[in-house]
Amino acid sequence: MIGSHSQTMQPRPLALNTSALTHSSGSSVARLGGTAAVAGIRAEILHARNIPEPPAIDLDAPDTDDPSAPLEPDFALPIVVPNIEIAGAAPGLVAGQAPSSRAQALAARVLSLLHLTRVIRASDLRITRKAVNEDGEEEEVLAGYWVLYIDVHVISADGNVFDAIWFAILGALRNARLPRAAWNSDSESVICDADPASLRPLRLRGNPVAASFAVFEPALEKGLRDEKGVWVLNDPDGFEEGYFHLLDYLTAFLFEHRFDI
Amino acid sequence: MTLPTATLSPLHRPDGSASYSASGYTIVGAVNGPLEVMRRDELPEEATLEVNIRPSAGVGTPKERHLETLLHTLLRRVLLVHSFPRTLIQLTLQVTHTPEPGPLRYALNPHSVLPVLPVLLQTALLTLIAASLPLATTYTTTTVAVLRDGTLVVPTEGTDLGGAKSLHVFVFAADGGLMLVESEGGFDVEEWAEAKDVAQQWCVRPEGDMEVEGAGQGRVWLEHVVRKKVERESRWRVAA
Repeated sequence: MIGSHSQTMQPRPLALNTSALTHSSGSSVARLGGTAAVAGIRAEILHARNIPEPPAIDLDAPDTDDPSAPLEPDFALPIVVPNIEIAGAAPGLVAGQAPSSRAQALAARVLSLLHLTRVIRASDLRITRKAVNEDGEEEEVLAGYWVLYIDVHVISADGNVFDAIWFAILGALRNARLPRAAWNSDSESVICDADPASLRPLRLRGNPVAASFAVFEPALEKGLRDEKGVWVLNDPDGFEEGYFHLLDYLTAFLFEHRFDI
Repeated sequence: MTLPTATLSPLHRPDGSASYSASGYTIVGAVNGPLEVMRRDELPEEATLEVNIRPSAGVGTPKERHLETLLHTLLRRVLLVHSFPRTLIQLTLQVTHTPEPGPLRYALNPHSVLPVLPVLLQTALLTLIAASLPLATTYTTTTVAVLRDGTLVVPTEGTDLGGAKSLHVFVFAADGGLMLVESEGGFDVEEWAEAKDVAQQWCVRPEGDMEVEGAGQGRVWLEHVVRKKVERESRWRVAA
């Protein structure tokens, strides 16, 4: 077999390096054979007063570890924003250029899957403060949100970029540390604690793993119409994915695995 | 179950157009082609297919790009692109009406593309049929939702999907072959297979003369639409 596989069901070696970027809240580089993706997470504060139509949320609702529970309504707001660039020379440096439609499609898939797997907890992103309500009782109200901007650069695309992007994002999320943010009533804004000891990690729900497969049906190719076989490949490389329309289609599955690191 | 409604050729300027309403969505599709293609996009052995999806409000977002990718992959297999090398076939789908976001929104994923996907796919097919572009096959498509209590439903407008555990979109070709599957949520292989059977029953006409209540509804509906188009176009033959 041509390509970087020895077996059809054998993925290429995966390497993950975390804390790769200095000026981000969390980052990682994932390599899957010849494919490499860098993910960096930047956390910014969104003030509650800047949300025009806040979703109805219950701050007292118990936090669940169950990934099949309904999604927290907080996520109707854009508080998790993935952006993906598939690099040519340096297209991201030219201002005003949107990522290619392929990159945008990947970003849409990543956002859907981050919500579907429930990997990020809304309670980790909420910033709350104490306020006195009409009855004179003190209660917890929403002061704002941490918005996670997840920027991914695919620095080398050699097939199966989705899995590399997913591993890079998951590595960056696991690696992310957010400072303690508290409401300051004098300045009427959210102030972050400068003490590095106050940094806290995100409490992710599980470790969903991506695995993409490609199906090759030679009968669909010109001159191979009599071929009967169908091959399924795990983790296709660039040759297998693109060369001569070798591939019929590509799917991604996410398996829920729970293990502690 | 309420069947979808379709109007073929509502627009006069494009080569083919169709308007289609189902499960609360209304989409207008228009196709032009074969046209002259930009040198950059030209393919030597087949037609370049361009799919543009416009949302009902605002400009296209990454979600629309994702939907365009899905439609492009499928339609390239449906259209006989090899019959029109070095040309462009340009398909535009404009969403004109969307349903109110229901409880499904938080059951799975507020950014899900699955509710609109079958409507877009069916509009695209009807638009291509209206343009009389040669197709390798037709297809029918449906959504199946698996609820938390294990029941399977083919949702229509107003179906409460707040208790949905997983959502699946299936596309079946005229010969009954599975062409596209998109699934979201938690499910195992047995549940997926059950959902596929339900979708197949709706989409594919059963073999033989067996009349099963409600079986093949999607197929029967599509054949009805195509028959009406052909009848209208061959009026001159039968005019007495």
